[in-house]
Amino acid sequence: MSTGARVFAVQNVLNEIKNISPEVSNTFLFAINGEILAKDDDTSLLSAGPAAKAFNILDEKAKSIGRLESVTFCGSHQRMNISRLNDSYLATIASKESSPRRAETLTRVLVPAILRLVDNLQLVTEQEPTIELNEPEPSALDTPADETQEAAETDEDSQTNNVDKSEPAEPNLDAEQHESELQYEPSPEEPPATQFIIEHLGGLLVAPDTVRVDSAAIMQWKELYGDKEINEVEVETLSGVKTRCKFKPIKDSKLEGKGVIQMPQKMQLALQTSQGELVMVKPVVE
Amino acid sequence: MARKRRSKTEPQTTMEMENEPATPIISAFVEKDTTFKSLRERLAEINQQGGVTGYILRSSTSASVDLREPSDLMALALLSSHAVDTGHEFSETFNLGTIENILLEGKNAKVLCVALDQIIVNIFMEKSVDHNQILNKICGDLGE
Repeated sequence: MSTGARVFAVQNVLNEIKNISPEVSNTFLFAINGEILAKDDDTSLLSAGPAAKAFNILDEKAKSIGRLESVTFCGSHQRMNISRLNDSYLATIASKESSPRRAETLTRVLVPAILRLVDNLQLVTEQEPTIELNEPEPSALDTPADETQEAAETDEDSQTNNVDKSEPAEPNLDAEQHESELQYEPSPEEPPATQFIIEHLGGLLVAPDTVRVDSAAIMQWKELYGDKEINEVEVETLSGVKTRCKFKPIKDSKLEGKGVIQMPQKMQLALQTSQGELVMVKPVVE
Repeated sequence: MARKRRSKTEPQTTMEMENEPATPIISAFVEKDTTFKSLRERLAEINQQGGVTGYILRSSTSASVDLREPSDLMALALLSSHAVDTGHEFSETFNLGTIENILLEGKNAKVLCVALDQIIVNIFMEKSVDHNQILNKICGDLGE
């Protein structure tokens, strides 16, 4: 949660969760160290802050059952659920009558999806300052008279118009370069995760350690990593259970482009998941 | 008084700690004691269920413990006790009302804490176990 934009996006999502589910009274996101990362408009820092710290103390005592993935406090009026989302926790307080399944869908699917989206957008916006730094270069090649004219125009107009003005002045080659800079290119250390729905893979000749992935996703990985070898993928459930396995493209053409991963029963058991559940899949780049 | 008993058929260890007063027993205490005994019987039955790894039953005067791994007793007792305290804290902060039950899901196991009057039941189980079924068994038992 390094930028204000991310906080703003998450806070909007938390407020939207409340709009979708009126039975939800409070939601807030906090880090492992107890820092409040985002909260809805109705939650005060005075209540969320100490709660996050109290939860972290509880988490420290939960080593005997592994790290805490989720805690639900059922009260006579309301129910409070705290679920782990990668390196943070999302707390949701809803009325006792509300459907726990619905709240779980919202918190474990919608919020992580938005966080990923915001992170990807953040990667793109982090590239933008590079363009701004490159902008003076073409102007340096211009005549001094042009520079003066441009400076005068800049003084007259607001700063927000800078990008619009510089675009037509830039040569085509530069524009192409900037477009390539704007493309989302994850670093090899951080391969992109794709979300898939589990489809059961059965049969006598099915390898228990191999999943079948959408060939479009495999093509995308090959484009991203070029000559680097990708022999395995890392599959992670929304509850954080992960495994590495081999992969092959989906054979059934009907399942192509459906966002489906075919998984043998043995692997589903190992991941404590089942058909219809969501998983995140990352290529393991050698 | 504390005594330790090892079942011949089960590899589990049962520890019972009872501190019953010598003073005349008042009716409320009898009622609570009956509930405690009833719960203990029910928990012994639940403990036979596959995936259930043990329980801690605790009232203000008595405690009954049956864990598959007795060495985890301190850590699990501390965790469940702290979960109950945290539940009370959250209840006051967010107006949750009286905490009826708490479910802690860890990476390897889960714990169900149920508060019945002044009796606290903590059941430890594997993640695959249906905790709702266990909750219904315990709460149904109280209503009988």
